[in-house]
Amino acid sequence: MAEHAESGKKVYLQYAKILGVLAVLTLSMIFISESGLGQAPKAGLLLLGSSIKATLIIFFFMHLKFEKMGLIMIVLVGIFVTSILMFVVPAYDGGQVLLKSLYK
Amino acid sequence: MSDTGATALDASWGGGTSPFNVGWQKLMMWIFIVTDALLFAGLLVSYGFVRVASSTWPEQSTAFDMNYITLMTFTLLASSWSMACAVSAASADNKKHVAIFLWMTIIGGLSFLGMQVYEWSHFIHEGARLTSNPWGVQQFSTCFFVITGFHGMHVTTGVIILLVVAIRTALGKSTAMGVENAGLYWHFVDLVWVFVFALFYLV
Repeated sequence: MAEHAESGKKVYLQYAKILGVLAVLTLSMIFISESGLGQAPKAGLLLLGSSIKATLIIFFFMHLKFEKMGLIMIVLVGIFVTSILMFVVPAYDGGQVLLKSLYK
Repeated sequence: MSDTGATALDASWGGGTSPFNVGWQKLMMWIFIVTDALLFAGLLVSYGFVRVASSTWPEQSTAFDMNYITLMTFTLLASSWSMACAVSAASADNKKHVAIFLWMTIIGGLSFLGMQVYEWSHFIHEGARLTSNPWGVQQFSTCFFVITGFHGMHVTTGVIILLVVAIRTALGKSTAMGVENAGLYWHFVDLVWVFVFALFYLV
């Protein structure tokens, strides 16, 4: 019983460490946001930071790391690839409009 | 197909927890999370296009108290930690810890919702409406209300689910799978906020 409680505390501590990493990443992102970086690199860095945070949450808090590869692929491909496609496909049209307006 | 091939296929797709080695409830929750994530991806991608298409965009710090938004973010992150602990306690059949961590998560969720209500009322008080605002870019308040509104609705649903699970735990009726599924949903709500916080408040 005592061993059970002890191993439970260890797991809570491990989750607390992940929370600590998430907190540090959040503070770093706020620092990047308030730095004098240009809009495009800032957006890129913040998206990178968000993706790292999301990976930590999905893999450790949601335990996806311990699931079978088939389920991992369904979730990752389902969310990330479709999200990227959502942006890339209309971005082609948007880019054309932007270019036309620039060279009018 | 050879007999061996058919047997191998049957072993993988034979029902029960096959082929992903998870129960159907958990698999359905994951599939729901993927579809719901696409809803938010659509909203955030649309917001991205609106942002790029706008020649100007208000500085977020003029409209929001960033320290307050950071506090909201930490509240939700901390509630995700307590939820992960509740799931771990449930798998170890430690009902006392499950109850403690579930209530911590509920308090975190309610605190976040309370802060969001205050943020919305403050924003509305400053003159922001769905189709107009004092900052001169109409889409700014539209995006704010739609994105944070959808997220807030998910948090509210999450709190209700957690309350049901907490009550079931107190009555001795909850299962480790039930706590885990509620946890998956709660972490998803936190996951969405990670992107909302970065893309709407920080970029």
